[in-house]
Amino acid sequence: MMTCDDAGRWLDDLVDGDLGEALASEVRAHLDACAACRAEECRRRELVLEAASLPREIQPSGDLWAGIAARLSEPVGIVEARPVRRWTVWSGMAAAAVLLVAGTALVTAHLVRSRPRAVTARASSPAAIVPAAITSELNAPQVDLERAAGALRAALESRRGQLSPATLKVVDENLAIIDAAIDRLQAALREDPGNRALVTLLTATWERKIDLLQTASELARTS
Amino acid sequence: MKKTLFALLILALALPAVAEVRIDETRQVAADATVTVENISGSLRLSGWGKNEVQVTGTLGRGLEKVEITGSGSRLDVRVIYPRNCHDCGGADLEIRVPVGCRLEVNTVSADIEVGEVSGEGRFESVSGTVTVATSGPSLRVKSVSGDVVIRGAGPRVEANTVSGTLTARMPTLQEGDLESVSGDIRIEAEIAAKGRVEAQTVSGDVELRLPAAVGADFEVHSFSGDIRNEFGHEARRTSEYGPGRELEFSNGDGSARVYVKTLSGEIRLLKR
Repeated sequence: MMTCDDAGRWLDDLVDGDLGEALASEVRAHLDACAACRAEECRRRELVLEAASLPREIQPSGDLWAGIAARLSEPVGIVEARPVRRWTVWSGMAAAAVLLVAGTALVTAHLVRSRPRAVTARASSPAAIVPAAITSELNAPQVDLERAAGALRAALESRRGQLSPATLKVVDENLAIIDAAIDRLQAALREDPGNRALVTLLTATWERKIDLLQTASELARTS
Repeated sequence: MKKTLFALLILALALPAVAEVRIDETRQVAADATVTVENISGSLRLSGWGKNEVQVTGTLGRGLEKVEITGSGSRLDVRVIYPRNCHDCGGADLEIRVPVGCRLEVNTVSADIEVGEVSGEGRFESVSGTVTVATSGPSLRVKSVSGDVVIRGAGPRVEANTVSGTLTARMPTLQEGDLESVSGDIRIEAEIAAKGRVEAQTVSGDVELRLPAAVGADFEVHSFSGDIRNEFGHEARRTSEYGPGRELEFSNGDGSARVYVKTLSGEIRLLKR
């Protein structure tokens, strides 16, 4: 008999319709007997339904982004006037806002990539491929990720000198690897827009980029 | 005489800069304490022992100031202090003994991390250092940028990611594993636990899974342009008539576990152990 832990591990797959029939029956049998797991299954199904309309709803507003952009474009001279304290306060607020944007976009992208197949069926004809739902769903969060990454990159550039040459080399080389990977994934998605595996890889690669920029910025701040 | 005095003076001035400082500190902590360790360069070797103590021994290289140890009881923070903007400082080579069941969080820049004989949760991150872990804790998270990650033993849940390092997980059994890279290769050699779940994905690295011939799992394998080699007897098929993508889905044994592998251009090898 399946335990709650076992069932919990398969709930997402069950909700997504990704489980084989035998395993799905086993999980359903547990749900029939366990009110707590049944409630959790309902919660996840509701989450997936909400996710269907999420990308546009949780995009950061233009006002929020405008505020972040304004902070990021403040003259460096102001930072230099009171180097440490001012930068720390500014970078803390701006970084938090940038990461909020990045986090929101990543959650959106994650929900998009893990949405049930029925919602975004694979395109079956060339005509359907061009405006494929899957890529347009990804576009909104990706625009936010690009902006967040750009802002983090700008913050990093402003304090490159604080990283050791060796660390800087590793960061630059790996950012180049990530950027090349994103370019290749986007090119592949243009070729095969319905390919969900590519969407998963693209989202994960953006996560790595945001993560690396965040790590490098933090290292520069504390070096 | 003047020359000798001059030489001695130079030596005296130079000594502090080249001298290594030895560290030997011990603190009491709870058996399940959270222990955090930060170091930039050099090496960290962490291992568990039966005492409710954290012992830090080792040496600090050129220019390093000290090891700051703060907290007690349920949390202890060990941090190597480097002078600001010191780009030619030496590294710190530390050996740290911790309570076997403590929770570990370790961060380095280029320092290698080696961890063994601990059974608590662990989170290990390095930019370019190699991370080698053998634990039995309930969950393990490892992250690197270019450093290689080697997992020689772990508890039920393993999460590891890197940009360009190689991820290697060789362990008796894997229950839940998430291994991701951008360009680094991923190698997994393990038995997959019944009802387990393993995911490996990389953009351009190769993925190699060495599994027992009788492994009970459903496999879902996707590659956009890389080869798929499968010793379990099933062939990959095209996923779209418009792109080069290929996928392979099959069931082996009782099919109770799930194995997902994705790559853009890397080669995927499913091999029998």
